[in-house]
Amino acid sequence: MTTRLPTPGRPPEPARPPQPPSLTDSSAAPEPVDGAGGPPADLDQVRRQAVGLLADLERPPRTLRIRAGAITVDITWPDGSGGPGDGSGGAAEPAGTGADGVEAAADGSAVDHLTSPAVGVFYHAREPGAEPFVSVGETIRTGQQVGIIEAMKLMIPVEADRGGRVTAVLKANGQPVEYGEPLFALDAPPAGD
Amino acid sequence: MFDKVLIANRGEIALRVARACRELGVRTVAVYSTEDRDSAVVSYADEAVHIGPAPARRSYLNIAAVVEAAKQTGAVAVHPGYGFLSEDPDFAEVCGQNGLVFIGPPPEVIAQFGDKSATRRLMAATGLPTLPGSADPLQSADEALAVVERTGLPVIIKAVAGGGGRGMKVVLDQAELLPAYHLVVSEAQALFGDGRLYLERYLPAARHIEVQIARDTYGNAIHLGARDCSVQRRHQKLIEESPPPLLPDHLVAQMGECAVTGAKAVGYEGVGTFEFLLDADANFYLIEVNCRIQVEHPVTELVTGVDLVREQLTIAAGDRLSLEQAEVSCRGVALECRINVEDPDRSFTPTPGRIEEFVLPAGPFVRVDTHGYPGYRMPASYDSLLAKLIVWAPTRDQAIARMRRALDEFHASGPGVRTTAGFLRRVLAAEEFRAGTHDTGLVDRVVSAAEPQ
Repeated sequence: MTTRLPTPGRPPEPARPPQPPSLTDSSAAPEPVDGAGGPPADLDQVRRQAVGLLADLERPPRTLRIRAGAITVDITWPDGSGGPGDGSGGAAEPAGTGADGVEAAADGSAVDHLTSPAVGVFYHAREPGAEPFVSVGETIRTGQQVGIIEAMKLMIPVEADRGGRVTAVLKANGQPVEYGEPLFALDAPPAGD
Repeated sequence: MFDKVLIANRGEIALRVARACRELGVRTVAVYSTEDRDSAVVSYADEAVHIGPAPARRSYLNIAAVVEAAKQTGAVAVHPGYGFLSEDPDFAEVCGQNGLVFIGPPPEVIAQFGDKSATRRLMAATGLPTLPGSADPLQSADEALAVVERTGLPVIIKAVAGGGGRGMKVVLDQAELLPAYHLVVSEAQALFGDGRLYLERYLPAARHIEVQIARDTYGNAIHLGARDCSVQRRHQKLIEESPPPLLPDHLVAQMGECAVTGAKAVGYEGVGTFEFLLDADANFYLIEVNCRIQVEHPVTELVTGVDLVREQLTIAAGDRLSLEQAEVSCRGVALECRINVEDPDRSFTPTPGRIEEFVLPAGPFVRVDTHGYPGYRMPASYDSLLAKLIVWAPTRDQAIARMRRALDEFHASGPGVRTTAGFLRRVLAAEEFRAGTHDTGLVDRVVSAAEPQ
């Protein structure tokens, strides 16, 4: 898919057309629509903003999509877990996350990992504010629940497929995860587990 | 006909609608969330507008964003597909207020049929058979008890605003009634933002039969035969077929007439589905009416030769129905298998992810409706439907053989991805399915037959 810019020659539009009058879906916070609203940005200005944005980033992104019309900036990071074209890095993640888990894992020499059994959103605890299932320093057993992955509106329990002492939690609460991505780093399992 | 239509949906149905539009020479606008930016419809449609982040609440359910996208692109009509905003009367109304044609029935009709309790009351008043149950939404658990005194057990407790097989519970035993009542209240509140419930008699060995209707804005109405959707797991349909096996023509005709009567009574416009339960004594009862195109619409298309999405578009554009009742004839048998990314060996846990190998069946009388492609990443934010395999044959036996052949040709795999294709093969092989004598209990029997080992 290529980024589509607003059709040239479109008749001029009023800045920020009024929102529909009776939006009864209170849950749906009105949100800018691409190509909607504001006066089409001047191309040169867009370019300058993009260069400025890139200069502010701590490391080069894999892709940067900018859409004129109404502003959408969409950044993906090379996070190592997916191949080219992997849109999974989590769009517009704040700089600095993404690759952290991988780096942390690379620090230890002989670490073991608990990996994600599914694609979805990873949660540390049963519900917001609750105690996490496991914390750093804790020793876990095979079969113990260590987290939850939300996929397709279902909460799937994540169980440890091996035991050991947790040395790092590699994915933040509420972060998207890919299948097979490391979630926790473990020390070698205790004998007899 | 419309110049440009916005498709307010995603997945296979968005592509299905875009194809119907293209055949009619109608230009299309796709809308998509960030997670769907590489989806098939985004590249297929003439234009595509990004309407928000992955959570449906902030994209596909965001009325303001969808309407703005339509206005900005100059679309004159909106096709809502199924799910999402398709049966939201507020959305239909906002479209109208913004000068957009909503492709579906009028908002008042959607509101009436969206309230399952009101549907029961309204359709019973029109003379349609309904199951014994509560006339109005239940006020309390005590009232539920009182209704059960009258109807007897078992009963099914359902959310007034329910749909998609969620927000309902079967009660077999008096002692289960109160816990079930409270469970469904909280579920209904969480899922639909409406905790009102109703209950009706539950038919354990019923068949799920639904009638497809179409009615234009001039009051012409037809029915297009029936579909059997009895192969369900937890109220989610897995296999559908038309015509329903072993169902006498005169019963289909009776149900069809009931559906047309119901549609006329409320001033229905567009295509719709009247869902019935059929008991072992050939009594049928209306359970609900769906104001949208349904997932399983292709089986009706294959036996009648009528393109239902095209019909939706032409009716909404003010054309007359393309055929009269006397011209509707159902020929042969069509079957549809829904292939989901779920693991049947782990209680159908969803398994989204990248689909690396994706091989589709082909050959005579095989249709595949899918948004998948090799390398497609099935997102975790939406439903698990990957592909619909639909086959046609002159007889049911040949249709089953053809479906088994098509399922054998289907391959989808990727890291962590499983599909229900293998499980569907087992259902097709079940003796009662082959005989056409199955009911809604079939899937549980196939699941439990596979377990002890």
